Amino acid sequence: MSNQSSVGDRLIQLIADNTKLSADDVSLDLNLENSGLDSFARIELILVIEEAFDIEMSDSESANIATVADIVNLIESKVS
Amino acid sequence: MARSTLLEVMGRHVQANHDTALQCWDGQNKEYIPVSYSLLSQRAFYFGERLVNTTKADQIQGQVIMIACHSPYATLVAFYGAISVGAIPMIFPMPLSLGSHEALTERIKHWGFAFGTPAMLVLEEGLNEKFHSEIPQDIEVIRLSDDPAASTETRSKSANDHQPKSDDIAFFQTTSSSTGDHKAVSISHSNIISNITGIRLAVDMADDERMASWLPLFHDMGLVGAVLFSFCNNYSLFITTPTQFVKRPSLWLKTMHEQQCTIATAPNFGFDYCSRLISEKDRDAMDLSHVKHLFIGAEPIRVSTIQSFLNKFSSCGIDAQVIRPAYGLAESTIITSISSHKKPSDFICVEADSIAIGESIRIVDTLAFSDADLSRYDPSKSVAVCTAGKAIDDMRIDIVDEDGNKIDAPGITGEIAIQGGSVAMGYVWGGEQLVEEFPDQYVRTGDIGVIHNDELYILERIKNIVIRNGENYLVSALEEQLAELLGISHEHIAVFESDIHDPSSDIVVLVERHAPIDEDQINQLLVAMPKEAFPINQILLSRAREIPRTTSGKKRHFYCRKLYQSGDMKFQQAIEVSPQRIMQAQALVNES
Repeated sequence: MSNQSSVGDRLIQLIADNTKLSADDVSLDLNLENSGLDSFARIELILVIEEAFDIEMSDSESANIATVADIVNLIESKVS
Repeated sequence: MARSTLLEVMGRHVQANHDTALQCWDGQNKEYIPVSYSLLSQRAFYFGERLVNTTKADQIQGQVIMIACHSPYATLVAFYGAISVGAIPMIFPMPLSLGSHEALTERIKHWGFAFGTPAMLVLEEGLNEKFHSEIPQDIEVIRLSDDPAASTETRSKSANDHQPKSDDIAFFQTTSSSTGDHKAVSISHSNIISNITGIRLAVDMADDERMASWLPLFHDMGLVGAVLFSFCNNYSLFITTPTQFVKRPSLWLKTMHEQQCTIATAPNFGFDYCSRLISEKDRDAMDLSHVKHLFIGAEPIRVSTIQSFLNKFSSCGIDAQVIRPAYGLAESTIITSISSHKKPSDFICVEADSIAIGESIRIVDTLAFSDADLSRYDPSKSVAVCTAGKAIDDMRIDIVDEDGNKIDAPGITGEIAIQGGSVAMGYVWGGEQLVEEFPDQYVRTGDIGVIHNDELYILERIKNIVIRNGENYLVSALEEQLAELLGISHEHIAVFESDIHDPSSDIVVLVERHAPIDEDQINQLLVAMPKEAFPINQILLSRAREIPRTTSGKKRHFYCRKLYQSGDMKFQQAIEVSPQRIMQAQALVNES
């Protein structure tokens, strides 16, 4: 749980640093499809996340992401 | 090939033992996976059998097959599988392109029940299960793997011995990727063959070209312009996905370098993206001197984009001679006109205030990309417009006035009308009439252009779409959604791009007869704004009848743009719309 939380905290900061959203706007429940980020910005964000966590997400995995928590779960499954 | 069908073309490749149909990028292993014509054909025939066995309709012929797959391989198996049994494939954009899973669900619900018989749905395995549960039960769903090695089941011929004719429907092409636009175009086998033949003849391609593409197959540029074009000409095709391209644009050019590709196609933003994001280190490792044709089209072509691309990649051997600006639309299968391979493409600088239907265009200069200095021209007074070349074989371009009468004199601005063998069968709206035919294969495009020195130049757009990052947004859909939010008629709302030649320009909404609103109301509006409205950057509230109209009362969106650009648009309040502003609004609304 603490590991997930640290991944989540790091991810939230990463999203805030690389999008127009502020850290206060981003939570695990935030649905990126409703966040105002267009598809282009979301793909660029996925690349930033891949590089930061040294993982690779397939097109299907990228497309299945809705919330920030979905990304946390995906990262957890890939780094564990 | 003139009277062929896509199935016959595929069959000839199989019979002749032509080797590889396409090479698909494997993002996990960072390599291209070859898919042979034989494998693709056998998997498609087998998939056709699955369609026949799954359908609840009296017959599979004429049934629409909605395809929602990421991978080019799965998409093409479903596409050819549908054609092999006489069904009609219709490829949908995926959630990342549409903006959300909800948008895909909405599209499936619409088209799934738009025809007499419910359409079937092909979904790629691995797609969100949560999403699957939202699909209406009356729509039969067939799962398909994106891995060519995942299955060994094949067939060597059509499951119902279907033999399409050249004038039969080959597929339905949706015309907008990002809004609730429920319109498609019906494309025949003969349209595809005619268009592909015309493109090849126009630039005198050889028999052994090699292509690199990242374009999505729901888009005509990716499906017809890359995949079907390479299949029909037996060219080698190296294909990846838009997601992979956006993540690493260098992959596209590296593929051209490593695989000795001679042809590639992309919209303006693809070239712009490469110029901005490919590192000098990556660039310096590439030799692209073998590239013969770089087609650019599908959205307004920006002269500065081409110049930046040439400046950045000329050291790799790319020169202006290989840049091929083109004009096309789904209604002409894909391409209507292409610039010549016999001379470097040029562009013209025109006086902005001379762009008006029926008026003579005032050209300040005709320039080559390589030696033009755009900073010499005042952007508020002149517009740089790229050539779109000449009509391809079997197509004719007319310039017409607002009543549709042909304007014979060159240099007079008017609406572009097209006619010929590439013009699609007609529009598809759903309902009892499957296809609303284009009479005499003639279409008014909704684009404004001029013929200068026998070449077409696209000056403006009167059809109501806005384009961002290769995605089309239907203006009428945005206007109706905003009308609902604001509680007024959509007749008092006009959405327009502030500069169609600048892909980063603002998308503006002019709302007339609307009093200024306070901060709380602004926040409520921004929070309630639908996802599809996110490309909007600014909302202007005006008092009087500020939207320019025709004599019959229709909104003239391109005159809105002129008013906005000239500073003559009168409004009482300007509201900024941005992701950050929307999030702030959300927080404030939640607090209250």
